[in-house]
Amino acid sequence: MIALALQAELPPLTQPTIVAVAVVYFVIVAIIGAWATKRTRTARDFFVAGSGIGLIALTLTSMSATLSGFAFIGGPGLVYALGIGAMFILLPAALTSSMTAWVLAKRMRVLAEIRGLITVPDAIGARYRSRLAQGLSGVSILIAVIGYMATNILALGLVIDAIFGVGLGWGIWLGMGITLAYAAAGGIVAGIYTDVFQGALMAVASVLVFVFTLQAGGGLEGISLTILAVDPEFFGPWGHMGPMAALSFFFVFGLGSLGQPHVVHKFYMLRDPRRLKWYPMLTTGALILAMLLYFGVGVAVKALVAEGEMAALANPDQATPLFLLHYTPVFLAALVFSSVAAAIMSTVNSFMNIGAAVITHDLPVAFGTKVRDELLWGRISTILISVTAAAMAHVSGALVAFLGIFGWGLFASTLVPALAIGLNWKGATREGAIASISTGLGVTLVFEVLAYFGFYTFPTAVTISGLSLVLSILVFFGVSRLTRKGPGAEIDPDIKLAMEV
Amino acid sequence: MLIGFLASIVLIGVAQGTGFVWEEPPLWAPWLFMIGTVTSLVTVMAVGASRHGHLGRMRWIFGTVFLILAVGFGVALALPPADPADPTLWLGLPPRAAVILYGVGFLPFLVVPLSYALTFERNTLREEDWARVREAAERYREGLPMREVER
Repeated sequence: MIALALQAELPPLTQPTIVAVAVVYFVIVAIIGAWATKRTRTARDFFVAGSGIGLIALTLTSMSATLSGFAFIGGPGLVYALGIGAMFILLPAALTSSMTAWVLAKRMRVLAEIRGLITVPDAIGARYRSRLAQGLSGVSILIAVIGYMATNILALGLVIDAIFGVGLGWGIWLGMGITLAYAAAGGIVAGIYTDVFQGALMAVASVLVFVFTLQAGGGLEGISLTILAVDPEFFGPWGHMGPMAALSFFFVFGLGSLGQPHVVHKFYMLRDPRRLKWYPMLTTGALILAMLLYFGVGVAVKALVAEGEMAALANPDQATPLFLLHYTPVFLAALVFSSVAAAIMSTVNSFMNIGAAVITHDLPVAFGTKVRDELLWGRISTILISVTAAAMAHVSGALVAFLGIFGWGLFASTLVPALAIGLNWKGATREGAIASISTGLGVTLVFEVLAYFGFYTFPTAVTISGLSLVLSILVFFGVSRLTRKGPGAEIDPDIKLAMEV
Repeated sequence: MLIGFLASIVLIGVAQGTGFVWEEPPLWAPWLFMIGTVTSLVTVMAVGASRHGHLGRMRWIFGTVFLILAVGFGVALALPPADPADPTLWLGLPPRAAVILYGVGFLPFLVVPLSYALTFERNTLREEDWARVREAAERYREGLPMREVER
């Protein structure tokens, strides 16, 4: 879900219990990967889990793909530093699963049934009868995927280094190697079923840690009163952020959830679409449980620091590790550290798969050709993307931070109008989709690069991702309106059916 | 509904645009941003849930969600800041934080996913819809022309 990820060093975690739990965790992942590899025989198995998955698997894999390590490390640190304002990243979660279900889930599943589509750009290409739109959306996804992956692999390297003490470089390559081993061999099947294991682990660990945060801080009332006495603004509606910045989070992480390909792509895989009925309830519930840690650790550590029980943190990212090491049983701490690795790996795995699909499937389709052995090339592309992302993470932390920042915004601005609105509005045209994807891609890249090199920065009340999303939607409607009588407005009858039912 | 969605995006654009004009955005800008954001989320859900442009009874669900979010953000914007000398707490949190976390962040969870489930068979995917999809899939696989969609 979240582009922001762990960038700072963690305190050493090399304790026997933590190492042992982490080893057991990696062994379980390896067993699932080996089992999935046997089930992966075709490109359809590799990219959309062949004969499909059930509701519980869809729920847990969506949750795991949504949450990265940020929910466990960076997020609580952000709450500690910014107060309630940091919660605006998560607040839309009460709505986003239902919103995605209403807007996209059924339509994408119907498209998969009729046309056998396997990628998100496939849906855009089919909706607008346009190879260019499919290719452009594929390029946007690929750019964002590599950035996201590099950010998450760096975070994984930091976690592995903290647990095993192997150094950051080895941590990066070990983490990438483990994830790659099951992703390249077992494809999305391996990803889905490791996600099921990882998602369950995350939710359980989060609830347990939340109980300990309440205990350590003297209950929610005790935590509130302690913080109010020293920092009343912390519990203001926007915390230490301004209202515009907080609302911008709510907008981008709310509406932008409709454009996250690693999540919406999984709707293709649901075996029986009638099971979608309980998808929002289960996914939202699981997300809320997994987010208890995000809030609980952030406020508990703030209260403990205010009371003088803990020293002020040198880096907010240390909130979770320090709390776990000092206020929870070591076995629970070990579970959470494995959950952090789990969250990062499941997100990375999802990105590996959709990135490989772009290279193997969408870009060749855009050029009017087809790869002969999509399964083989899917595996090769997965390795190529992963090595590229890991190399970037290894070489330049600053570059990785830059790339990770705009991933969410790039997905949102290029996919929300063309995919989410386009599958629900017959007035959308091919030209509107192409112009909108180009706008999202151009505005995000240009302004992020200008900001990175210090040439131009937006005013504090304006975010690049928010503005880019607004502009791409306006361009989508404007250009579609102007071209509504052209051939680009035509829709194939089966696509029309998917939009009507 | 789409017009409402488009209008909400314009509101958000105007609110963001104030950041380029004034160093400190005017007091009305957060209100504009809030109304735009809430409207955009609710209308896009309504667009996805509507059948042939009609919502039927579901308009009450989306109306309720809009009210929950708008009132939640509105109260948070309008209430005075917490006073350390008078630490009133609502369910363990200062009032404005409670409104944001419980009202905006949690209350919709009790309404929206349940509404989706309860209206699923009638509104989202009917048995006859799924039968039409299966038939269309058969025709596509066999290379037969698609039938035009009938309402």
